[in-house]
Amino acid sequence: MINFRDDVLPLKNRLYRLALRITAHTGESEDIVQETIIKAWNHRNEFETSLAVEAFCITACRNMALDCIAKKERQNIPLDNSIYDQVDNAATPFQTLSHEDRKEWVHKLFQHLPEKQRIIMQLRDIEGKPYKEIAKLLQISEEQVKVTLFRARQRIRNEFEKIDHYGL
Amino acid sequence: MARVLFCLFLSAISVFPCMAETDEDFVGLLLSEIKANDCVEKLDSSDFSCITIGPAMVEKVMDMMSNNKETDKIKEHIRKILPHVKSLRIFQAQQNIDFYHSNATLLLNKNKKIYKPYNTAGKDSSCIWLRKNKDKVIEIVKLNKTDEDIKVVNFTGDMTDDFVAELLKM
Amino acid sequence: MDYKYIEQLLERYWECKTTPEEEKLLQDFYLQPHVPNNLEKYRCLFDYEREEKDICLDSDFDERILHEVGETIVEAKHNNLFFRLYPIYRAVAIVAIVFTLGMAAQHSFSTEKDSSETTINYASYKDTYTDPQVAYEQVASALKEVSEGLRDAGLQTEDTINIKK
Repeated sequence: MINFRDDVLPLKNRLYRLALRITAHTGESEDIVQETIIKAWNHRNEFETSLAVEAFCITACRNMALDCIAKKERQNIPLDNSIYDQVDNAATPFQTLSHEDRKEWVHKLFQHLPEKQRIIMQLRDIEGKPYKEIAKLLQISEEQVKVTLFRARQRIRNEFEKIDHYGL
Repeated sequence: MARVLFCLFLSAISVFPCMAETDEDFVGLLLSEIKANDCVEKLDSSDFSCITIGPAMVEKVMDMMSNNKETDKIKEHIRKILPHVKSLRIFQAQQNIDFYHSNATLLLNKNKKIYKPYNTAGKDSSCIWLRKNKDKVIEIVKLNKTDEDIKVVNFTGDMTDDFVAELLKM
Repeated sequence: MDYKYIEQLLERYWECKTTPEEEKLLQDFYLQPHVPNNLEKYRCLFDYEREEKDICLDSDFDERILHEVGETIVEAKHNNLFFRLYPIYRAVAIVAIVFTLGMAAQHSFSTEKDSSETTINYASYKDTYTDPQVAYEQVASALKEVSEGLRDAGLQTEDTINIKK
């Protein structure tokens, strides 16, 4: 029997971080989490385990976040473009950046990743989930999780390696 | 109640398109599966390659062989085999071998009614799968995985006992 | 401090060979203020990942959501005949769908098919090669592979692949 306080509500922050990763908008993300949790609660009779609840929530949250972006694009509402600014090492050498600016640079790297790579990085690097669980949550194979994560991390690594080419 | 009846009606009519057999060969299905899984951004990713020799090229090869009187044992067998072959596709990957292998085996299992394994008592990493139409074999899939690569060899055609007898002599 | 181990962990991290525990170890490594120069540049990555985990919703979110969900629960309590009989309607609908699909499946398997027809559509095929000689070499090599595969599978020349199994 699924319990709201024990099984559904605790997912809120994880879902919020996922929605934020996709939409980069705090207000929209909050609304998405609210809708996801209500939707999950309305389907409570379908879930046998708390992992099933989480899988449902992750899928619903992700789909709503993607719809939100698509809706904005259709309405020609400009997205927060500063997040998607070109990551340009030449303009401001990495070594001169403050620690906060470097973390902002990493944030842009994450946001530049293709959607699936971004989500799997979120679930693994930030939420700390094992491959098996990520595979169950996203309903893909473990191999696919590893390959996607590998590609994401290699992209990030390549950006770090470019740093060495811009003068000290 | 109206919604339930409507869903029932939709399910009933949706069955009919599903009754049609797939019109792609195995490699075609595999490429669709890889694309659908969305883990590769483009289908022409450098991870894998796909060679296609369709019916038109098979005809050209047969014409070339009939014009070329040179012969050896292998060519003789191929001359007899080729009329039974309609196409050949070869899928090969040397990176992310496990990923492509798991896609291929999942696909074979998903399509158990179409592709039947031929004697998997042998090694797990190399196997032959057949697609039949009544008593004729219309597709052969050979799946091979090593530490260096994964390869899918996929023939389609009209493969009779004569075809097999010649093939085994190669 | 064994920095060699951290360097190895980092290499394995990029290769996606680390466990979640090892990745936590890497994050914790960067909590210390001074690390070797070659490792310093990655501090921002692991700090970012550690700090992203702390992002959470406002404290009043719970109140808002409980208010919403509470209303939903209250509505569900207004049982009417439809909601009470809904499980039965659902069961009947499922049985009806399964029966219909079963009839359709039985129909498809009992239909005679022309054995000389293949069902593959070659219209979408794009030949990789333009030279028949190159195509021939690929065909020859592939046939040899399949031949070896069939022999490995125990097929003898006297057998036929059409033996009903």
